[in-house]
Amino acid sequence: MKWYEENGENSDVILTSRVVVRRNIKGYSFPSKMDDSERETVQHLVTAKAEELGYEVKIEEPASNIPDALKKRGSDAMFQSSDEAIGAMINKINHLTFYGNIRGSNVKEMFTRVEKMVIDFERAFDMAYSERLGFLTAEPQNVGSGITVDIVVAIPGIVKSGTFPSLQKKLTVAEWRLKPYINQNSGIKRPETLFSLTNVATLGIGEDKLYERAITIINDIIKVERMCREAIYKKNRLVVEDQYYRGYGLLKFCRKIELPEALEVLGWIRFGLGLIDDKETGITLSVINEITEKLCKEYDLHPRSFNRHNEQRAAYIKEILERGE
Amino acid sequence: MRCERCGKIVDKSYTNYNGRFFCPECAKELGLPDAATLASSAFRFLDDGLTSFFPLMREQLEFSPTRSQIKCPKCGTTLKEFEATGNLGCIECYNTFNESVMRLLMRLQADNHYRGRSPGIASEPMEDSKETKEIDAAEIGSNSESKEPEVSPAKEIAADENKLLKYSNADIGMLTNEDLNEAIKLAVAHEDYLLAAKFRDELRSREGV
Repeated sequence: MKWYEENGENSDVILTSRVVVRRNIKGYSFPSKMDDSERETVQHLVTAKAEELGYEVKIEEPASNIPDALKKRGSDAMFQSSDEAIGAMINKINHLTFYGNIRGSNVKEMFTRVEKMVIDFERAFDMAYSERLGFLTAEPQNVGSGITVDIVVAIPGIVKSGTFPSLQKKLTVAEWRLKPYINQNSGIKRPETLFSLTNVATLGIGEDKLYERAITIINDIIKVERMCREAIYKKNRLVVEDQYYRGYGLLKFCRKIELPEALEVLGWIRFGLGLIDDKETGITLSVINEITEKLCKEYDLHPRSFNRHNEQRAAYIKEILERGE
Repeated sequence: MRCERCGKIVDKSYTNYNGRFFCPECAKELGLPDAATLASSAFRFLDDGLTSFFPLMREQLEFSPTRSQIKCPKCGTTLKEFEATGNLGCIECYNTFNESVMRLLMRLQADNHYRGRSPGIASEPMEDSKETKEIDAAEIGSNSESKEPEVSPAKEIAADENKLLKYSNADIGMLTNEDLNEAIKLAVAHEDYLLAAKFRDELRSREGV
């Protein structure tokens, strides 16, 4: 089973968690300054080791019909585990960009798997490392542990209760950053309910502490979000139910919808799911997560033109909803 | 405040030159007079110091033409290139552009020392998550039912301010009529009449006035 086919724990609040670890091999320039022979050598060394460790290696040669001037330098190479949850890209910005993905909040297991993979490669190659700065990366802002943890959280309860600024302040103190998943730089601004939570510090904190802090923050956000949802529902049942059913109707019957609006409406439904005793719509969390993920993927592919294709978007949302019923 | 050259935290003994702050060590290395001398003889410094000071500064300051021509001897990355892309070309670039890299790290991170594991050595096994004080769920949550100990007037004022901030940030449709009445009182007490009017209008529209 692939990692993205699983449901994941606490996925009403934590959608996906991703960790990225950057490493470079000593003795070679970073990818932006590599010549072809260096590129090939690094790729060959890494893929051979990956195969030895049992990973699936994928190498994609540049298409032959592209003019030389537009061709990317070298081939795209990567390796990954059979469930595609962990793996690494070779010669992107750094020689090795390890990653690990998981649905929901069970990040501990993923961190352990990623760390084991990284250590296997650190033992095989002499890595670019300095006692003072740690692992040296092509982007100096990631020097040190070279780790970025990125967690996608859906927190309509925290936003609606007005506790968001207080949460953001506390996260800043803990050196984490919570920013809206979608950059709404034009048009009517919709309230955000979907956020990306990332660590800021790669220096001054060890890997174990970083991972422990991530787990603590995730658990606390889940707890606070649920508290907020329940408190608001207890206080204002009618409004929550009204927004829930209104949101369902809008997604099901709209003929065109902008991406920020779709995410806002999904936030209303997510808020009410599990609280409202819904015997009418048959909507489930996995359907809501599937739509949210598709919208996120659409945004990731076209971050500057996400407000086009409003009709296609409405059609696929309707299709997923009907399939889930 | 931090020294703009080495990033070290400086107290009152900084040297301010044209709005740039340096620690005593860096000021000395750059040939700047120390803070006390500068303050007591500011005008004399302009006469005596400038000639010896400028050639030195030309090598050190960000905007100097010679500095932008710095090039990594190993991979050929220039400082200009690094500043434009944010990426370094090789390990040697960390030595070549040390000053710029350190300045960047000072701006982005609270620390410039690595405190993680060494290559190939596993870190300590993770403990099960404990509830820490980093994010206090009870404090953030709006409906904590725990009994509050007696609070001082100063704390009460701060609590009122927090409450008002919470109401002003909340989705107004989610506030109950009681919340709105309380929010109006708090807003008036804090002389935020625009906010009070916003809550009043919402309440009136609900009552059909």
